[in-house]
Amino acid sequence: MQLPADQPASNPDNDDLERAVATMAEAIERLDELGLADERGRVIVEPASAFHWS
Amino acid sequence: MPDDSLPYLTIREVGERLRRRELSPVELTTAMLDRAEGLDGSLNAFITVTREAALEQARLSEKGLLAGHDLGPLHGVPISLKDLYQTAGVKTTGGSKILADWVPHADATVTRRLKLAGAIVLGKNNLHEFAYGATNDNPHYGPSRNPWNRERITGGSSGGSGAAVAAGIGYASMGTDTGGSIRLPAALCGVIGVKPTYGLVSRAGVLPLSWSLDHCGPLTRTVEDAALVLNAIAGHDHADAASAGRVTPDLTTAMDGRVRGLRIGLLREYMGDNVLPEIAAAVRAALTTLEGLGAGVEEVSVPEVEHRAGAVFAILHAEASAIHERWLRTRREDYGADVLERLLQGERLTATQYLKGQQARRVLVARFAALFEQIDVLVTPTVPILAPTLPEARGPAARGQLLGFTQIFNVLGLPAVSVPCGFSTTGLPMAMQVVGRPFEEHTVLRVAHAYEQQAGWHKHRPAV
Repeated sequence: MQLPADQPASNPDNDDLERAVATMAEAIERLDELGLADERGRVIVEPASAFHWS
Repeated sequence: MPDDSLPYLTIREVGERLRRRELSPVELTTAMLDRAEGLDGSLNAFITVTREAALEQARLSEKGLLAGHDLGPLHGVPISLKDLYQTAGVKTTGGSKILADWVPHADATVTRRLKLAGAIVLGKNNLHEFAYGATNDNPHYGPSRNPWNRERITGGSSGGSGAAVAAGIGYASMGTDTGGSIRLPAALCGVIGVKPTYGLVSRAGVLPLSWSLDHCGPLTRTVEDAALVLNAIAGHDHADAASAGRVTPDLTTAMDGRVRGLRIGLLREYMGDNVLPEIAAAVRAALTTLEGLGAGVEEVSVPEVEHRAGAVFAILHAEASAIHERWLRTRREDYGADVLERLLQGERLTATQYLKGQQARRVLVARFAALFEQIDVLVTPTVPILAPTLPEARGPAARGQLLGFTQIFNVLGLPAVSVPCGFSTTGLPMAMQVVGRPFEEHTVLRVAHAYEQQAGWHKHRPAV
């Protein structure tokens, strides 16, 4: 069974922060394949909820 | 009087007994508190059991019923809350050391709405620290244990909720879902879990993990019970900036078994060699059942779902690290190792990367909007693997699999329910996920309910 290996490794015993960050950066860079160039200037960021926990 | 059938009654059934005065809210609450305290040594489903407060609520509930002040279907019904929901006068730890002694002054909106509907809060459920993880392997309060097999994880981050509901401790628990944290424990524990449409249920007063991905929703033993809880908590709340101004229909009207003519899509990308064959077979069998009820099933493909990971990395990690920024400076040593590592990863993201994630979300939303012109609901396995053991779950391989099929629907904000669809040869629950158009909870629940009633998996009980 082939399983997705798309989460940055995060076992504190054997993980490397740099490697995890590089994995994330690569996955985010690949989002350009969705044609994001056509979307420039039309970004909508979802509204943030109010929270009051401190 | 309380009897052995009490823990697994439906909310409707328990309500009938209360109104016929065969059972009082105080008797019922006492039985549930005893069950919580009796089982929690092995399940670790609760961080706090609020015996005195629950009994006081039950006494008031009893007086109300006797006086003819019926608050509706949840009146006198014991429930629990993930320990992420603020509870006035009761510790709200977030599963963390940082907030171990924090006692809020006010209830979360959902807490308040449930109390106003007459629900009785038994206590606060265990969770993955700050809801930032899928295993419920909590370094501060210990891991929750799966009622079907104590060696297996519950999944998270609403793992205590899943364990409590599966074990018949209360009739519902409120969870939260940022990448699958309601649906995953529901699937691994063999219960129902609903992540509503983004904006349907207020998050005000719930400790946040990611503003634009967080959702609140119930875990229950039946779909109708979930509908009853959603009826009580859905609706606009000015305290949540993302709250939608929708009037929610009575979701129990969708519990009519009518799925004839509905178009169900099976997502090809989540049914390949990335799924345990036993789970894929169970999902296909469930679809055959729905076809037998008159629904149409077709395979659909959305190759863009492969970008789920990139979008989630960008949005979740950035927002979580922003939320925790102050404590990352002042309380870093008080985080568990896995949560700290994820927060440190998020600190390294740039604003450009974050915005790219939000841009990708727009493209993905448009792609799924087009898909939902072709179908009414989408079906996938909820989780592609069975509940792993704790050591298995601690490895990096399990984590991507646990949330691999649920996270995309947080990015999209679409309503999704996890419904049991069988048991493995090893006796572990398997589940499918039913996803719908925005604010079409009634369609999603209609399909889940029709299948549930036909298949009958909800009648199976773990040996607790």
